[in-house]
Amino acid sequence: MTYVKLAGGRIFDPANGRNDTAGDIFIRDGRIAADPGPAAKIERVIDIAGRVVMAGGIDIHSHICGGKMNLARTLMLGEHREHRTPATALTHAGTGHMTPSTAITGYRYAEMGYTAAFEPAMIAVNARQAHAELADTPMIDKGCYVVLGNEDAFLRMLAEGAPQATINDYVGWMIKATQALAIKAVNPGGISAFKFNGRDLGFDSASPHYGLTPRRIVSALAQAARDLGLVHPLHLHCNDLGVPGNLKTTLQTIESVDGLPLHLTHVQFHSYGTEGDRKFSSGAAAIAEIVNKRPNISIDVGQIMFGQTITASADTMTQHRNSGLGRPRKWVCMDIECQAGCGIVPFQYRDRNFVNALQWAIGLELLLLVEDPWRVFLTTDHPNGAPFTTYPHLIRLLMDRDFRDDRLRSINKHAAAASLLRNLRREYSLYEIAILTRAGPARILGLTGCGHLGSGAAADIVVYSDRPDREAMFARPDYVFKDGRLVVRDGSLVEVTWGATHVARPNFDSGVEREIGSYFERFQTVRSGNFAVADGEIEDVAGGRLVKHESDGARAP
Amino acid sequence: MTKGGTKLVRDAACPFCALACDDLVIERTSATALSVRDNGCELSRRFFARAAPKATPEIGGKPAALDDAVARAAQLLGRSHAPLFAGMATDVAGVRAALRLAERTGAVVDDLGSDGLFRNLRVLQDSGWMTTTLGEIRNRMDAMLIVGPDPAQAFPRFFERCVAPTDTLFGTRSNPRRLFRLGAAAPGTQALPDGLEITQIPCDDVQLPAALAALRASINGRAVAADRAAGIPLAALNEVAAALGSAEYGVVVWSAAAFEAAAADMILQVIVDLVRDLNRTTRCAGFPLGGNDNLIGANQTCTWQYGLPLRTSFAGGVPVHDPLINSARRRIVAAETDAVIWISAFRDAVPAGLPANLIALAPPGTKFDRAPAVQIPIGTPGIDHGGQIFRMDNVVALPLHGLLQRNLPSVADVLDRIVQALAKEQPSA
Repeated sequence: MTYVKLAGGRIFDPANGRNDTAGDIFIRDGRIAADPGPAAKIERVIDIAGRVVMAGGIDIHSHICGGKMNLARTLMLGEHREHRTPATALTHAGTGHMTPSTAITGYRYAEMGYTAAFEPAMIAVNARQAHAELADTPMIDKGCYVVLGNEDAFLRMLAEGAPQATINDYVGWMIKATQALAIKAVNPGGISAFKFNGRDLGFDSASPHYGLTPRRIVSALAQAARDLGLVHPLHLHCNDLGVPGNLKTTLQTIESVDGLPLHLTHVQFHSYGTEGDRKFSSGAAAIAEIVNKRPNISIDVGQIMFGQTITASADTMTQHRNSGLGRPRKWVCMDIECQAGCGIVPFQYRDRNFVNALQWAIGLELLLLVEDPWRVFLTTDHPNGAPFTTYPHLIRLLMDRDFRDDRLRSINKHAAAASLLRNLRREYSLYEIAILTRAGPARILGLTGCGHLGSGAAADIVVYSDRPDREAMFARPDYVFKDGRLVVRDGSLVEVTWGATHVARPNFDSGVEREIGSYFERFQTVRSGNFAVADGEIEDVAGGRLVKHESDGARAP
Repeated sequence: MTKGGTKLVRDAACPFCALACDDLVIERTSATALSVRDNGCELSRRFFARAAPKATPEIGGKPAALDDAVARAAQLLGRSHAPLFAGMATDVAGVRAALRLAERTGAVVDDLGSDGLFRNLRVLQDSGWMTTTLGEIRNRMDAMLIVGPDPAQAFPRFFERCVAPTDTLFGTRSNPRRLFRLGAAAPGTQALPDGLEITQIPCDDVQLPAALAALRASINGRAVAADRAAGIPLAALNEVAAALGSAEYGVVVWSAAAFEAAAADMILQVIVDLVRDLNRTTRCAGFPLGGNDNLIGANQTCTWQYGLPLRTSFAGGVPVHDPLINSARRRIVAAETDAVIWISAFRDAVPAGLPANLIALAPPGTKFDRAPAVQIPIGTPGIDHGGQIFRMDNVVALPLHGLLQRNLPSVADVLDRIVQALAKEQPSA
């Protein structure tokens, strides 16, 4: 067995405590190897002296598959006509910038040094499609969080007073049946409420028909994630997204879990106050303050960038409410199979618009005010805040205060004046960026085999030239290795590979299957055996590979 | 579900209409024959029982080895300046293989049965829409307006599965289910399940836009200065408006393919608009019927792989979509193609208008007026091999399982062999 040696890089590997440590990296058989000593056969030495080395980037929240993305692509046909990528001898053709086609999605991630991305809103009954799309997404490792908390099966069970142990078994079965890595809740209770013509649902309001509060739903699901031993806590899109004053809902939600692990997603959209002439203000400081105090809480930001994008969400209540704000004025809302929903609204975020400008500032405030980089994650809620291809720009905003202040001067003056941003001096270091985009995501998802450069890890490695323009640096790595293969050289693809699909396999009492089966037979239009996605449906597609993360959680009493 | 030699297969999914019912009980009556025992309909009973007569590939009507037929198909495609896929009726794996071949050969991809799909896509792209799925209809719907023909003609179990059930999640809703149909009078309307009644409001297609516009006015409380609209007494339309307006969850269904072309766009636009209007005060959702033969799956797969729907051309090495120019029917009529591939893995009926220079992948026993240039018998997903297909609601995809061993290759197998043969013929991509 021979080795490839990356000689003399500056290693930024927070999971192993290496901060700008000079050293060599050895690759063998797709993995990072310990220094094999002078006798080993080195097949190739790549001199990376003085260059920055990190593990491949990991995106914990990016909408890259499922029916909503095809609806978004269909709705924004013009965008796909405008952004066309021709086929090459190596790569497939494709289209799209905000919602790129599957192959293009994989290529673009790899070209900017990301080697994993996770779909955070897989509708359970749409799981087969989500995995079929991921099967056609090359280059990256991938996985999905299944959306729970609005499906009638669960709400009915909870309303009838099912014990937590039964809820846990149901959640465990759902994870297995949909081949999910984690569980997600979207506007808990709210999507269901909208089907009963409810237009809002406060955190302590009883939902129509079931009489359940979001508080109760969040508690049951957060507990289930904990009891099943899932590494990733409940991934929560809070109630009241986008509503001025929703800061209060977000704080209530954090308080409600009483120390249980909880991940709040795209918190920028949930950090709004009602102060000022326009009754719209930043709540980032209050959110950051409580996150700093509560080690059980992690957040990702959902930064917006100015320009056209399209928002795709299971949160039909919110998307219908906001449909009038969309541009262009066309939108989709769909109720889905007594489980969830889907709302698609195109948006143009404008830097001269007070609200949009403040949204931009709020995202950055959160990233700069949360002190622990292990508990905050860099996301744009792709494509809802902006496409993932804006990450290098976002990294520069975090690392370069002059650049940030310059951008701040270009936005709506009232928003700039209302934001704390001009007083925030913090600049992220390369080490902190490596936590934010590599080590942190791997840890919060339980991906022990990637996100670091220790011996035995997947050889997902990125080498950058240390350029003062951090946007240029992170947009165009010198080398990207995926599972030990050189896939990108100087920002361009040189080989196409296929990453694994990560799934969680918690232990649960399979006796629950009988009851679920009879529920499906009575009420759904799909049988439970056909609803479940078999391993072979992922593994038998060319390039398909499952990585199963097993857990044997202690059962609830 | 499909364990080895057991005679009965339960919870089998049916690929023969876009409802994709997955509760069928199917019996293996011999090593090569099936019979639907429970939960069948006229379509599933007929197609699952279809025999597979012994058939070999043919080149110009003469029997040939599969390798030779594949080589001939590759040769025709390799020489073609403008290949066209005119049928995409196969499972997701087959569609993937077809798209690989299309990208490789610079072909146009469409399906001769896609007119309804593109009518729906046009209104979706112009304005968006609010829609629902079969399971929501089954459990929530308390008022339904059907625009156009009786859905049961094309989708036999629609009423049984989605409209008739009394055992729903929410028990008896405050309103009984009220059903209306606005459309051309049909002589042989399907017998409805017990207890269901439909108020029929006769209206020809060309009058439907006006009738629906009056209905929309009534929904929005606007006066119509006449006592009839499109020949229909306003009172009848007011009754529909009142039923949808007072429903907790109204549903409007239509089958875009069934309308006369000249009226279709206007019909769909008014439906989509009136559904949105109703959602200001209550809940209502549209439901487009259609998408047989996994047309939905073909369009979905093309959209995720290339960002564009069917009717996309790969001629210049970059996908270009045009719903008018790239219609397979138009391309054939205008003689803008010199090699046509027609894939039909589910049905053995041949549509009118296929040209002579045809590469046909169809079930054994499929009869053509003229012998195709190449004809390759293939298996049917859900009978001869496993696979995945999409249901009409665009959300649910179902697994299919191989139930028989009749040694028929899948579409994906054959197309991948053609791609390989093409690589030998033309090594450069």
